Amino acid sequence: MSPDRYSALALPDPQSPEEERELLRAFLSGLEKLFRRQDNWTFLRPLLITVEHCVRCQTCSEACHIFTGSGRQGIYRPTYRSEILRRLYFKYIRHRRWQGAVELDWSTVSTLAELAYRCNLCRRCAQVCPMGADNGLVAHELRKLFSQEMGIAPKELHAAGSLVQLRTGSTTGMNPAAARDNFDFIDQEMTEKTGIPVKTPWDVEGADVLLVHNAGEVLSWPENPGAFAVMLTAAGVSWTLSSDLTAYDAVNYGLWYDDVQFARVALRQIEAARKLKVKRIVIGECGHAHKALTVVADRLLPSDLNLPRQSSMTLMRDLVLSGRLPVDPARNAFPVTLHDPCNMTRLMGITEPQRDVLRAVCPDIREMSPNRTENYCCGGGSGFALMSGKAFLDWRLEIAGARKMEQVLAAFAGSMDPSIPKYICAPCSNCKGQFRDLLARRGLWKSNRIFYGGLAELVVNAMRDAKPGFLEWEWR
Amino acid sequence: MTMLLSWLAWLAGAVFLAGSALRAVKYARTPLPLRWELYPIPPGAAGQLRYTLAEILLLRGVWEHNRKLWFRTYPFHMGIYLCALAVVSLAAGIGRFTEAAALAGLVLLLAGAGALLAARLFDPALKPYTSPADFFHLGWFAAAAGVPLAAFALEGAAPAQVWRAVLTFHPAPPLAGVGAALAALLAAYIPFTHMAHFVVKYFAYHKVRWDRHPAPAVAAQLLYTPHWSAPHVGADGVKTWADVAAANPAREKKP
Repeated sequence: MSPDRYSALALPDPQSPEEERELLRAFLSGLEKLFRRQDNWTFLRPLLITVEHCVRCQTCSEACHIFTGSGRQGIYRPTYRSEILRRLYFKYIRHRRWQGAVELDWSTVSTLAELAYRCNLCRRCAQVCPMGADNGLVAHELRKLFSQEMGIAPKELHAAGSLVQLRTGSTTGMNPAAARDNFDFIDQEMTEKTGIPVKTPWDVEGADVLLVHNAGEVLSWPENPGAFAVMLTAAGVSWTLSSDLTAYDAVNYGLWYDDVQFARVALRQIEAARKLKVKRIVIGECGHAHKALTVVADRLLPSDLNLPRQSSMTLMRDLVLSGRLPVDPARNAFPVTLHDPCNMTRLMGITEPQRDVLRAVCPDIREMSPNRTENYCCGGGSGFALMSGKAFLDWRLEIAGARKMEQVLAAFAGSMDPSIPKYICAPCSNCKGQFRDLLARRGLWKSNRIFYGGLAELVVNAMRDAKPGFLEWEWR
Repeated sequence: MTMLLSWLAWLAGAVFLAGSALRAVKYARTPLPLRWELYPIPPGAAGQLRYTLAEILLLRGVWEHNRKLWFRTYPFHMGIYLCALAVVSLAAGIGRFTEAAALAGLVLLLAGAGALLAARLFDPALKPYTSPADFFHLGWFAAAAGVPLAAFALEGAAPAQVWRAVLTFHPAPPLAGVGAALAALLAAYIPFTHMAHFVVKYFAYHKVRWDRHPAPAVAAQLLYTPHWSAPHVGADGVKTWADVAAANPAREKKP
């Protein structure tokens, strides 16, 4: 039962009153655990603050790209799902009256399950909340309740996501041997394209940098890990990839829905780095992997595992601005707009290194408005770019991505003529997936030549030591 | 009756302080969460202090993001601040300032509570999200401000003089006494409701949103025993969080 005509979970309705009772019992059990320190120490404090102190003033609604992008439909208010949870909390956990009516039935539970997946967890709502409440966190906590207690999660994130990563090493299903084969192929491509001999190093003990990519890049946008290989090789950086389980795939889907899966993946990624005795981990162009490994995992790590982690944004800035990678910005003589991935900007505060790089390699930068920490999510955040569900793709392209596309079109205003190629620089794999689908849905590549890609590609396209024409402007 | 009201006022003050402290302790005792910061974070202690003062004194966040609400909630909050200031300044003796602050505070509080009540009753964005408790709270604020103002008009009882009389065990006119009782009971009640956000915001900002301290010890929390029921978690009531995180059921061979 979905509150709108879309579905992320495609939950079947219970077939008997007994089955419904069992589902409700499981939900209540999960609700109790959500508010118990033994079970939910990870987020209990901010959850309690939100549930007990949100005054439902709706200040957050106008900050939400989904609410405004939907034409202000009530069910997409950040407070809508929170209010249901709040009433359930006061009624069933605190046993308080007068906190608003709510009925616990399958309709309520399935509505909450679906609505937990109508929020990108971008936390723009929390940013404007005068109380310090965090209705984005409520969506996260509901996802957790459903996953950790009831085993309910989108198949793309769990059964075909984090479980596959923990079994094979990558959510793509690539095992280490397949990953190495793919990188061999990428190396050949890069060597041919740039004239710089590239050979990706694997499992090099004592390297300065362990680079971790979102493995989805390898399959969908191999030019991005390829561009990193070119940059690091040309700059003479001591680097390596790891073939250990989960360590050649930076993703951590647990960040979006399940603390246990999150911790399992993060610990294995860090363990691989310790095993190789690298000096630091550098996270490729993947927003959620940035936040997962750098910030959210931080307090989970014992001191011997708390290795330095660095954003690829700052690494690229250091390489380009130090002159180790001589660049010619004239090679990028086309309009470029920068998308700020929420995880890097609002949730980590990384806003300037990517701009420093862009200013060095691109002569025509068009800032979106608002930007940096006040950016709008692309609409693909929190795993949505991977999910299709029942008409879910339509929802994320027509509603969740609406505000972002308005921003892109405004940034390129005056240059929409198809004779002018335009580039959305999205240094995040999920965001790129969303832009691919948004541009395709609106035909903006075909009709207006709006393209998308990462930041590393722009750097290599501008590198004096590389053959010109790294960017091929071929749709994929 | 005079004694009863006076004791009630002092007791209410004590309950207010104790209740606020209890709420602070409750949040301070919640386990240290995973890092969950939100940017921009004001730089340095001075920056955070400036931000906090602007939030408290000007309700800057509401001004910037919900102007319509600000015109309702700012008088409400400023009314509370002025009333509190008037009560505190009683210790320095009643002066023109105290009386003016008390009167202005009550007027602003009544206006703000009325405006917020009207919004909760008629604004389609707020009405579905308003519980009976919200109406009760706002109604109580309106009464606690309105009755002393009515006493001022009908009994000539200046609010600050009434509060001084009550706090020093002197009699107050009947209606003014009712107003003082309403205010005292409200003060005692606030810390036990969501209206205690003046306490909780410290934790929301300083212990979540702005807390990026890298490596505090959560070792004890990793020894907690989770009870989540989904099979992939593998919790059995004995394994700790550390055990569960270290396990990898996806790789374990099925018997």
